[in-house]
Amino acid sequence: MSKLAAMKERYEHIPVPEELDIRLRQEIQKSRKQQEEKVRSAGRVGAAQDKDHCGL
Amino acid sequence: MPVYERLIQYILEEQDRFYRIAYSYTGHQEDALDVVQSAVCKALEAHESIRNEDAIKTWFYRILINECLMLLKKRKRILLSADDLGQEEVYYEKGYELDDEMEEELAQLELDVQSIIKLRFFEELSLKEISCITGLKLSTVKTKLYRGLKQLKENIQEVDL
Repeated sequence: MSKLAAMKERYEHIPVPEELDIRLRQEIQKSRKQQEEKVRSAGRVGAAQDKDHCGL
Repeated sequence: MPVYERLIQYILEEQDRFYRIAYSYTGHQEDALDVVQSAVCKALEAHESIRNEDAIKTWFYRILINECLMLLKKRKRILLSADDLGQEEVYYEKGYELDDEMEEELAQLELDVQSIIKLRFFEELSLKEISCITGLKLSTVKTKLYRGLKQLKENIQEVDL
């Protein structure tokens, strides 16, 4: 086995801590909340604009 | 499926790969975790800039590699200032120390050459994908890869590339 292949073998066996998945799911959850908030804010702005447009 | 959801799916499916590449740069579990988390955070914030859904992979790798390089630069700055104070340098954790001659030689190469070799041989990405990730021309990627391998070969006489 070449040294490069041996190095790849070692690379592929680097243990991945369980904490990674936990951290990433927390990050995704945080991002989803921000996205939802963004959509809600956009909805409020849109509704206000509609109101103005209708002359209400 | 919207780009945002596709990105999340990609992140969750490929997270082990991201960690391994981050670890290959940092040699340190906590730093690798921080790097991947930071890359994911930046990617999710910037998902609206994805123009082509098929490019999620190269787009995310670019963010991840940049995070790795930023950490190394930051570490280098800390080391330089620590030298003034006579402190010790950053350690590598057990499991991926640079105890292998090949890894030591690889770590001696320029950072962009290291990235190209890692992406090509560890991540098995195409030269075109590496070109997109690094922002280098395809011809430059080829040249740097060839030169990097040549240098490794020269430095380690019996390496079979």
